[in-house]
Amino acid sequence: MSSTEHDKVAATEESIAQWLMDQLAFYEQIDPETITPDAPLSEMELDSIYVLTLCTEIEDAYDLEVDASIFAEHGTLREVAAELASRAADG
Amino acid sequence: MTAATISSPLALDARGTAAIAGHAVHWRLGTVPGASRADLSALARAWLEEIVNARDLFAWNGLTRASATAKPRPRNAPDADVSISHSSTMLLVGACADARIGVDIEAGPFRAFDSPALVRRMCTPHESTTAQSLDDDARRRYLARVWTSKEAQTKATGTGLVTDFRTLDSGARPHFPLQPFEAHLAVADRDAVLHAHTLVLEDSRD
Repeated sequence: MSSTEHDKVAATEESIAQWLMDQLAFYEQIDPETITPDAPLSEMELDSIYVLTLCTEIEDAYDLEVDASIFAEHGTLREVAAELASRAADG
Repeated sequence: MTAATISSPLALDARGTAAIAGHAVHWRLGTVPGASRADLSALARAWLEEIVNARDLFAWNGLTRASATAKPRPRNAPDADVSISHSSTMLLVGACADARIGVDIEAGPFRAFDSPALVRRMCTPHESTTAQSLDDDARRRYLARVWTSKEAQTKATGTGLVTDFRTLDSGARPHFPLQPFEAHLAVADRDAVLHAHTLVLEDSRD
């Protein structure tokens, strides 16, 4: 699945967290069993290529401006999802 | 497994010194079959210590980070710098006594660069135009060259992905020796001017 298959997707914390996990699994760079909403991002060791790819795909899917710092400033995918859901609500 | 217990021979082991903007950047590149990320991280530190001590670059006191997301830098050696990059089972390290440096490597086949989202985010308009003019294999390799140049440059400045890659010139040219990776070394000089150097192994030159 890629973001190009999405129109603007539902922007709840839960749905965004699931979408982020799906995207990371699609990249096949991380053991899918380790991709959970509460796994520490620092332990996932996201490759910078995929961080930048994901930022652009978030922008496409949720119509938000996102830079890579969001993954440094939040500890888990759930926290990233909460931040994105908040921004979308403020939209 | 740690570096001390890696027993498999390196499938590739190359080293050298690049003169970049008047600074000597000492590097080592290798492929470690079967290595995990933890293996490569441990090996990187061992290689850096070896380079620094063999060339007497500065007093080696290990590496330290200013923050959890900052790159590791030599402890108690403020003028010196090191940089580490790994991709798949390939590892590249660099060390310099007197300038900020960055290194970056991407192992083939570079399929991550098939993502239109990534390409939109990482290329200047000129780089996008160049990429579009190439066939699939050449485009992937060119984009890997663009990427490693920008990654090395932003590691040298310490800004990383905070830098907008769409405004940073890679200087990459679509002319490729046959080697199983693309890699760059970069130096940020005292005036913060960036200098990128494409790493090409001698036996890969065409």
